[in-house]
Amino acid sequence: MSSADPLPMPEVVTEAIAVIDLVESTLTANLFGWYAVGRQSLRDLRRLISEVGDGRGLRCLKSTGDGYLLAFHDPKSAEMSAVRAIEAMFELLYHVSRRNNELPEERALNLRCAVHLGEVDVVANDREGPHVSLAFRLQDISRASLPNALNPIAPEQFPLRDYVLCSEEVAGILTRRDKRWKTLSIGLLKLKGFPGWREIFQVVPRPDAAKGEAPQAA
Amino acid sequence: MTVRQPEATESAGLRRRLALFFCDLAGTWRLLAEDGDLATASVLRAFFEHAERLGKAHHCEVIKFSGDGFLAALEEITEALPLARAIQALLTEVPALAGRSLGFRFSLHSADVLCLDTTYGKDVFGDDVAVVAYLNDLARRGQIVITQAAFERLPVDQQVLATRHEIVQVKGEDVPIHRLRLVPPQESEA
Repeated sequence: MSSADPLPMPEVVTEAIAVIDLVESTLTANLFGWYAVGRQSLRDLRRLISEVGDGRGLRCLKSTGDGYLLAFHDPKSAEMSAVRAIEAMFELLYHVSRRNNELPEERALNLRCAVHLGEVDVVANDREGPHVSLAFRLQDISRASLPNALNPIAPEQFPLRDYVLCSEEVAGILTRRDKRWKTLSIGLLKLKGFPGWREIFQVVPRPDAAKGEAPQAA
Repeated sequence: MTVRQPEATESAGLRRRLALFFCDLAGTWRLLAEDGDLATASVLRAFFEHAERLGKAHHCEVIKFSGDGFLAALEEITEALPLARAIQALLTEVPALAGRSLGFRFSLHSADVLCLDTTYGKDVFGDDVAVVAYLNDLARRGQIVITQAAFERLPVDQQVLATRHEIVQVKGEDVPIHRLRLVPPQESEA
């Protein structure tokens, strides 16, 4: 096929998009070496993501340089893909925490996770579309974003690492379908390239939630 | 939406009835695409400098910039309309803003909000802050969307300028609003 030939239209599906960023990965690689530390950390992260995504509908795992873009799919319920993505994020944070306790601190993994749900174009081991961009905007949010937000939490209350943020869409799904987590508003923000205000949430486990409580599938 | 402010429940004394005024600079995405980020940054810098100056001149208690707009909280709601007119005039008075197909959209609400000194400055909190921000999306260029609560507190000579009354939905709730034009329709649609 020549470059002038039109590409076939990609499949459009509703999936949960997760963006995982490795905190200070460039700094760590520069300090301790890419081959000595950085490369192994990223590979460990890929392996852990594959493990937690297995059986949860993980269909795409793409490197973003210092993290990964993930897509979760549920053929029976698009909303459940968001629940599965959140499950995977918290299991990943749990495994990362255990790993960090067993390794020298320069090899520690610290993550920032963001989850959104929306229609995306499926291309080979990748996803395209504005909902993918929105997931990246969520992942970009930091303490420095909060003074510009409306109704923000105090910047010092915002965690520096190992947290999960989600969009209004995902927060609504979690509220309806799963009692294992609660969603806390961190404020209303304008996200670059997107019109209007977006309320952003931090997802935290409910301390009183029964372990393994099954989410409502419908 | 429930605002997550742990201090809020213990701060009844910091609750105040204020006019919440939101102003958004429309046309910045097109400016960014056509003229680039440097030009956009200089436009926003000029806008923020003048908005801050005008906010002080109109006795704003709080002025907070966010994206390409700002939220102001005023003790005296009668200052809101003159403030909007002064901001609107920047489009012709300030060279950095003139001739760039920009416009201003305004919204005005009146509510009890929590006023706090935070680590980044004075700020206001409450679900009504979100209401005035969401309502701003409904305003056309050169227009103010005014909630019924704010409308009732405006002096009669300002009330009579409002031309329309309607009910809109904000986050699934009915909100009665009025609309008030600061510029003729043909200019606001430009």
